[in-house]
Amino acid sequence: MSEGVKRSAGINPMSAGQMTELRRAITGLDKEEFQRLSDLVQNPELFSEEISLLLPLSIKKLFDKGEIDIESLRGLVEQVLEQSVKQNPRSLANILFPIMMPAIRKAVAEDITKMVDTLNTSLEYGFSLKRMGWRLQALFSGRKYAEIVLSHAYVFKVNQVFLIHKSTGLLLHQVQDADLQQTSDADMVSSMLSAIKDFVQDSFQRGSDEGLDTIKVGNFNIWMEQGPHAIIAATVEGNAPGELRLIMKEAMEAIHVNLSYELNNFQGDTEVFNTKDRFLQNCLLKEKKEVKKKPPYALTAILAALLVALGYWIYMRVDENQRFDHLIKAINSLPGVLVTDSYKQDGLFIVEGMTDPEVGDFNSLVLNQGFDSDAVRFQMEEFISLDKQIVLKRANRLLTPPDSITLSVKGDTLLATGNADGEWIRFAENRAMAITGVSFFQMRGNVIHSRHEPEPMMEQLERSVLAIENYYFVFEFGEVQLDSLQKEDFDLLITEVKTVLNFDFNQDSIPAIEIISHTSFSGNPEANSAKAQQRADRFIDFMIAAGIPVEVLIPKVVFIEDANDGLPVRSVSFKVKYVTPASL
Amino acid sequence: MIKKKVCMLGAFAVGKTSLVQRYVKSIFSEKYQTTIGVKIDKKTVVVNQTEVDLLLWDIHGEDDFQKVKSSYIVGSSGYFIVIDGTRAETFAVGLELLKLAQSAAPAASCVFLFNKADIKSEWEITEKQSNEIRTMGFEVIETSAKDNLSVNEAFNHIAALMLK
Repeated sequence: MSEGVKRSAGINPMSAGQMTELRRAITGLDKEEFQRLSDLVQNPELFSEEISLLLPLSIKKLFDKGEIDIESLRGLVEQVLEQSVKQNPRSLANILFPIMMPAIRKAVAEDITKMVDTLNTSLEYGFSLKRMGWRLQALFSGRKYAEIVLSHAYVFKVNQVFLIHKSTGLLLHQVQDADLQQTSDADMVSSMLSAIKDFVQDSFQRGSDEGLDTIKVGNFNIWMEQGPHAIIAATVEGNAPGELRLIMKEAMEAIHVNLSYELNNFQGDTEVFNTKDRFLQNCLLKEKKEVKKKPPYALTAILAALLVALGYWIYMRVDENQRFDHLIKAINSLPGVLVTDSYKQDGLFIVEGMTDPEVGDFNSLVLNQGFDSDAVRFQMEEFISLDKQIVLKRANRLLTPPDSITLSVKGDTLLATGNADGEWIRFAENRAMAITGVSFFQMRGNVIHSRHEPEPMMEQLERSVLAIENYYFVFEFGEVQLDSLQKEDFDLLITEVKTVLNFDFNQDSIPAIEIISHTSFSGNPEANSAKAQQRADRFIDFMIAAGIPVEVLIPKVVFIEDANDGLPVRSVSFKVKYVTPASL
Repeated sequence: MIKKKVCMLGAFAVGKTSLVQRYVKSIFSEKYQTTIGVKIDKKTVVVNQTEVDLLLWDIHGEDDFQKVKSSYIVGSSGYFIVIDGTRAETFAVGLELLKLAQSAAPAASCVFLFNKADIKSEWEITEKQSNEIRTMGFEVIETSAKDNLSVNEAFNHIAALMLK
């Protein structure tokens, strides 16, 4: 350079001393210092060594001034770590090993403890409906089952949470449940806890990372979570879930991340820790015990009484209706009664229908069903019933038979069986036909003659003739045989026949018995006639067998023209005729 | 709010507990001293218009059978070394505890309390020994818990030292 100056300017070259003087004037550096700087700039190795001496101090100052913060470095550090792991993962693993192993060990131990807690709780609650409800709630809400359990299952309350500076034992901050009324001085409690922790660690020679986790006194617990510079201690009443430990751990981590500098350089001023209140607030969990409401005994009793009354009323109504139904059925089953309607009106049971006068009243039936006689009102119209029982009742009332006579109704024939005096028999014969439902009267028995008034011969004959002519026998279709009852009647008939045949008061004529077998034109008249003839012949055979001479027996078949003719179709009746012997 | 941890150190029966008993807020019984070896008390003082809560760790008196745990001293901002003026042997114990405290809490402030000043005529501790302590750079305050002599001053003094 000195040569160039010399040539271009054409001035005298500067001496070395002058150059040194000029350099010092411009830069303030002597030749050695200037050379050192020049070497530094030109030699990267030397330059980097020089910078490395200044860099840590510069970074510290930038931190102190707040011009570099953790956030701005995070990305860079993460990239560096990522690159380092990619290039040589073993190197980072070796660095982290002394830190990670105790941490992993502790985490595993805590997870096992938590699992045992959860298992205990699970066993305690068992497979209950409540537990199933929680699972359904977790399913539908999308929340973790553990969260649901946390908010429902455990009966516990975190009363206070302390943030304690680890080395001094001083209380940095504390939060407490709003319901907590009286508390001991938190500063002293914190220091005492710290002292107890130190005592345990010293006494059992545990490392600083294996400190006291839990102090348990009956139902009261102190849960402690230790970080590098602080301790979180929570006073818990009841059985807290393992998840509380996790929440405390997260709070501890958050506090250390956010207040690392303040914790490291703590000089007794706790003001700054009040700003991180929310981390401790997160630990203030509680689960209120489900308060079983006192059953509303009075209301229950009233409702029960009302229910009983209502039940009784319903029972009474149902029972009353059932009894009324039974009453209606009983009345309807009576002969000579027809119920057309039954209902309840204005508290009274009304029965409408028709009844024969022979039936009488229904009081006994009403009382039998448990009703008052006034409770049931009968609105019945009278009618004449042809029911056999009613006809019999009517006949008994009108004919007033003696005790030796029993009346019965067969078809439309009134039968009088037994012994009676001639006067009653004549009375009955005259009145019987006038009884509604009676078309014929038949006397089966003997006439009782009083000692003072022997029955005249002719009257006795007439009565026997009349008795014979009142007999008739009805047969089923195609039937010619007598049943047992008809055989009894037949024996009585033979008695009357013999009585008539024994009379011999007129030599010009003798009695003959006409056996009239009735049939109809319906169907096959010829077959009907043949069957009717068979029945007549059968009677002749019976009579002959009973000692009646064949000569006085005259069979006859008669076709019934009119259904209202009197005698039923397929029947056999008898008539007494007086004929000359020559005509037989 | 400023909070400071202060330890009360001294030989057995030098009057540490008596010094704090009447002048501080206390919720724990003395049985803690014989069980876990420390009892926590609290005294609030005002220094230069700044309120300071002193958390006093009343550590059991050291004797041949029970040694003070250094972990109780760790983290202290200050400590009193209490010497019974009527018992010469407590001076030596105090110096031993000073070494322990300087090791456990090197940055902490220290104040020596020569207690039982109400019966100074019975003292075995000499002025020479007081000067020896002062020569080491520590303040010596003669106190009497019984007569409330310089007790509050002692607390205020150590608080002021800690806030420097």
